[in-house]
Amino acid sequence: MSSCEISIVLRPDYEGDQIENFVPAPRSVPTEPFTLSIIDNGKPKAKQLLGELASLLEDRFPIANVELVSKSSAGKPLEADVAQSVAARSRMVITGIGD
Amino acid sequence: MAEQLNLSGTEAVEYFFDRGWTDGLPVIPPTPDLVEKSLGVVDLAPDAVLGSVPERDRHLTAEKAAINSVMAGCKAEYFPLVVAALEAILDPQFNAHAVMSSTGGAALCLIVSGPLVEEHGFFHLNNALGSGSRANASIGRAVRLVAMNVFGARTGVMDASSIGHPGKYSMVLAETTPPTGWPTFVEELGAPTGSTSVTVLAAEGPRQIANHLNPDSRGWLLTIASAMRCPATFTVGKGAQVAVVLGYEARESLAHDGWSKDEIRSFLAEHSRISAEELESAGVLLELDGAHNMAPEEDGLLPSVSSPDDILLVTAGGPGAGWSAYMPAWAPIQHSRVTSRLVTKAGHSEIIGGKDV
Repeated sequence: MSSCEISIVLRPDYEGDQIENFVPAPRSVPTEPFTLSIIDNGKPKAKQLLGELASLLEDRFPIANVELVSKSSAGKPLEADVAQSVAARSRMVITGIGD
Repeated sequence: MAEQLNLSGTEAVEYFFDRGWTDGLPVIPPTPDLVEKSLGVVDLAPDAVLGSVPERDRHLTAEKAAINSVMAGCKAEYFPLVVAALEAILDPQFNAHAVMSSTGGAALCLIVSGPLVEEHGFFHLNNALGSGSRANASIGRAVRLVAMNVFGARTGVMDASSIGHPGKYSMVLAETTPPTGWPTFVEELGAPTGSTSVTVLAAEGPRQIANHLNPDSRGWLLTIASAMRCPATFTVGKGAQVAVVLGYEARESLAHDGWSKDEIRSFLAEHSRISAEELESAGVLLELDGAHNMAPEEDGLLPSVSSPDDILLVTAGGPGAGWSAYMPAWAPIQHSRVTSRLVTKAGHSEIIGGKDV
């Protein structure tokens, strides 16, 4: 059979990406004092950048205190138990930072 | 089961380009009969899971691995080795998510050791890291196509490589028989006689190392160590796993002079250490307040490799004027570790060498 006669080929990519009816959590502006947590990914100057961002947020929201959590590797997610602990004691979390 | 597409051979090649399912080169259209042939060699069900990348909520089935293996140009008999390589890549210690997405642009470098090197016709002497061998080219290409197609490691999607390097098409290093008295790579992993291993390193591009005139074998090692402590390499001063390829003249000279592989690793680890002043004189600022602690140690120096055991010492390359090579890991050891698997005739591969290599 020559290559021109091929009639069926198989799809090579991932076929399981089916996100349906994604609904984000409701957004609300906090009015009571709360804890802001920031997650430093370990990259140079991430702490400083996130610290500045926290300062700007303190001007806008009733932030009682800011907690910093540092990861050991930017290439790995926060450990599940640490993430749960942060979520339990924080009203707001900044979780993303790039290079 | 994978979706079936009704396309002629010519149409398929262009359709796969249009869908972004290639590495930039034409692929072999993955017909059901070719895919079944590969799956038959390993006796795995199409929906058998070889591993996953949890951060991407994606898993790899044997069928998708076989489809991409066919596309890469692999013979069916290569498929057990492809399975072993992919299962090593999907070991959590390797951290495939970060390796495949980082701006550092790592290759999925495979190191193959054992009888399958000769059986499949890998280049392990001349052009050991060059072109011309179907096994070297297509097996490395297969794992890259899986990364792209199954795990989304594509430009503009989930591969943020700033520069990348040609090893991202394929990067396979096959070990040639070491000089008498030295263990093979697979023997160092602790495998039974007759085994073939696949080890995966998230690698920067290879550096060729020249030493053409020095009759002293210690001189060979000093030259290699100097390449390993180049300040421009991201991991220098931080500590990582690296592969060192001992070319023909280097390995023969070193073995003749009585060096063992352990002694070579210790020498290279010690002599690739670098001072803060050398790094700073090259314009490199030390990271002191992040994940990489670059505070000099008691001797005032910083490591380029994490430990002697983190040097993957591989014999490869043909005779010439005196060439060796070196490939550093793309990132320090806390971000990714080398993983190894033994190739099996059927079914899943076997875990081997779980400590440092």
